[in-house]
Amino acid sequence: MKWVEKYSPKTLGDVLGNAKIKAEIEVWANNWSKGIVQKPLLLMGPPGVGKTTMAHLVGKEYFSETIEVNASDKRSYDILKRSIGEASQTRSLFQDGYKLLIMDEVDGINGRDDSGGVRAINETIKNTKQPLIMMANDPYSKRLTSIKSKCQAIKFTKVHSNTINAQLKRICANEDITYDPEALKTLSKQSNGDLRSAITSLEAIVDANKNITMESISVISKKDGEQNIFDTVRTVLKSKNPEHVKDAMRVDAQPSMLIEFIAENIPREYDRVDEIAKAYEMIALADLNLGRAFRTQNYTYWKYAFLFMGRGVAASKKQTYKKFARYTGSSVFQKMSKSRKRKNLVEAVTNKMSVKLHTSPKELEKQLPFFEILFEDNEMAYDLKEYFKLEDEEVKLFRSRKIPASVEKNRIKELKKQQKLEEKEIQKQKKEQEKQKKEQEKKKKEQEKQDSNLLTKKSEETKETTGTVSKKRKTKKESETTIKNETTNPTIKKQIKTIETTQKTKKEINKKADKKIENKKSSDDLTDEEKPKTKKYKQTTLFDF
Amino acid sequence: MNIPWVEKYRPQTLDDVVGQEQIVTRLKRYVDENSMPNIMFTGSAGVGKTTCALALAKSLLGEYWQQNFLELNASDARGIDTVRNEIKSFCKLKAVGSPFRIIFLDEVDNMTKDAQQALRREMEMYTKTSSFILSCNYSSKIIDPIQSRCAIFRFAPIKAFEIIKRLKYIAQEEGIEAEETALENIVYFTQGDMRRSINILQASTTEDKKITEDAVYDVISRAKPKDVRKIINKALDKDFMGARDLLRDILIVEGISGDDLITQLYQEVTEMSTSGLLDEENFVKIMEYMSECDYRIREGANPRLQLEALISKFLLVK
Repeated sequence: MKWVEKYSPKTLGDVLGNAKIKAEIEVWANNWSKGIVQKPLLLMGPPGVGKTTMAHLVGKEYFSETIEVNASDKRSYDILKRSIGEASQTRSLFQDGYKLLIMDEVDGINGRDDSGGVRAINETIKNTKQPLIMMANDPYSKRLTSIKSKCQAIKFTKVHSNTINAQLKRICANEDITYDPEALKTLSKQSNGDLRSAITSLEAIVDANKNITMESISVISKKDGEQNIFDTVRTVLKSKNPEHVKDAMRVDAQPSMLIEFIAENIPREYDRVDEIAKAYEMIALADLNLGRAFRTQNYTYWKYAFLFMGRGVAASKKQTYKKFARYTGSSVFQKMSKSRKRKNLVEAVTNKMSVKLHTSPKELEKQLPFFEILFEDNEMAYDLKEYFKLEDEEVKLFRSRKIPASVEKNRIKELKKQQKLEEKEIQKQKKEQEKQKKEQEKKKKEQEKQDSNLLTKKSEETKETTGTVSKKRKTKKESETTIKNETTNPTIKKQIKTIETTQKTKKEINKKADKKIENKKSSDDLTDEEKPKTKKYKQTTLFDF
Repeated sequence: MNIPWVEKYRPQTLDDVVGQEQIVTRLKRYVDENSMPNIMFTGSAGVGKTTCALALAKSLLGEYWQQNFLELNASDARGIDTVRNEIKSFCKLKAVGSPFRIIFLDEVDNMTKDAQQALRREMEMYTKTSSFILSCNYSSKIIDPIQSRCAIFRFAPIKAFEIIKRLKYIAQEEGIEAEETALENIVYFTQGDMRRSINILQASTTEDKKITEDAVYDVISRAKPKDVRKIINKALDKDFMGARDLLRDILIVEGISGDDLITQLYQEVTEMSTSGLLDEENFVKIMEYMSECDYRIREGANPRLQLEALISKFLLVK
């Protein structure tokens, strides 16, 4: 049996360190066992300080059953819903009391592989009827932000090296191991507050003679510092020892996050302006390399980024400061969350504008101030809103005042007016087209009529018929047209006469048609002003025929 | 119905394009030959890249240009998926009513390298059916294989007199009286950017249809990030945290872009130098770092961190 298991606490009472936290958890468990529903617990802290042990011991001592999901399992939405989600809804069949649900390493849920994992946890938290304990290493993990607020969050601290030392001594005594007290001390310190790793290391270095010396310690390397991000920042800013800084930079954090934390706290630690400027130059260089890595998808650049933001910043100070500086997270994140609403709005609006203006949203964002000015005018604002198809909410990006409803009314009125005008225009055009058509028809009919006239003239009855026709028409039509007709009558007669004369000269009736039209045209040209009138007359006479 | 003048007066044919004569002549030859290679337009904003692309597409594709023209700008998600799916499915179909199809991709320099690699494949595979027009601000950010597959046209900033001519034309069409000095101010501020010039022209038009020098000055100063001088002064007073906070406000809360802010910083520092607030040695030192900062931002570094580093340099001024 491994020592870690062998010497792990068997009851809550055995748990080393974190006494206050122990009490808090016991109150929580007690309340549950009395049937008082409690918020889920979120235990946060570095590894090896007893979070999992504590959770399992609570399960053992206060609840009937323990169900655990940990990082080795895939934790997508479906899987989580099926396992822990269902368990959280049902009570045990065979035993009384509650089932304790334990979810380890919630901050380790992978964004891609465990899609929807965080959502599933959130839903479980909301609906659970069973006690739930979650564990996480990094209290600053982004994935925790939504969960944290719904839980009773408890922060574990590292186990003090003296406590670790004492436990190691106890184990050695129990296992009959002779040891160099200095060696155990070093081992305790090196473990960096991680009791589990200290015990594992102890077991690893014991030689066949059950002896531990300083030499045997040098065999094992120091535990890779899984530190939290502030420990790293502290070391980078406080230390001038490159080895320490190098170790500290092994922190498990996104480089883009780490650079913000270091940059944020440079002026909080460094007092000399030349040091601030130099350190910031290192930050800029680190950022440059992060950018290169991202752009080229070649992450070998990261090593330079880490080098500059860690050792570069550390080496920027002339000597170490012996002061207490309060470090904080970057104000950038607060400002970003504040401006997120505006950013989303800008994005939505510029996307709409880019469709109309064939311009990239990024470029348009720079020109928003100009549009802001254009939007000051009510009518312009209304028109642009319609043009870009913006919602009322989106107009707020440009102006705080609403566009008065009267503007819309006026615009719609104008539009309707315009529509009517356009319709009228169209109708006018149609009428004109019809007129033209009619005229064309008239021309055709004129020809026909002339042909028929010619035929009738041939039988020498034309003069009489036209005379009677004109009389009939007088009774039907208004006087105006009759006057016109009267005036036109002689001209027509003239025309006919001219045709007659040409006819007579040629004396070929069958071949006439084309030539007649030509003649008619020429005569039309001569009597340009009277032309339309003659046509009217001819048409009416035709109907009367 | 009011619409933005940038769109209302966008040249519709290659003949109407302002400036860029040599490029336009070449593009017209493509129209005459009724074919075109893959083309890349590079140049700063507002110099006519999109206008040329649209005009070229219209004259090459004819009546049915809209069916055979795909415009993807940076607002459309343009990861590898878009390249693989949307562009591919568009390229696959044969052009109907036009000799071929044209894909216009704006701001290619903002696409990831992976997406650019995917794009390169598409450009090779569909040469028979489609041609590409790519547009970017910096061709250095485009992977070599794409550059080698394109005829590259570099658009220079439009000359001041040409912009003024165009602005006058627009003013005349709109029935606006524009002061000569007002137009000169616009052009001085926009540095060869037609889009910006026209936007300022429209924004400075008063209700009584006049454009005065004062109105232009008003509009331009409204568009400038505020408090830039304050940042510098705080840094000069050795209050780095205060200066940094202001800087973050401008960049994050006000949403001013990094290159806009650095242009503004440049102008402020130059002004401080001419008015004797900054001695020559310090001025040159700061400019030295500013040029580096400017370059890095254009290279794709985080503008805020770079600018924070830049203002830390003001701390050193004695």
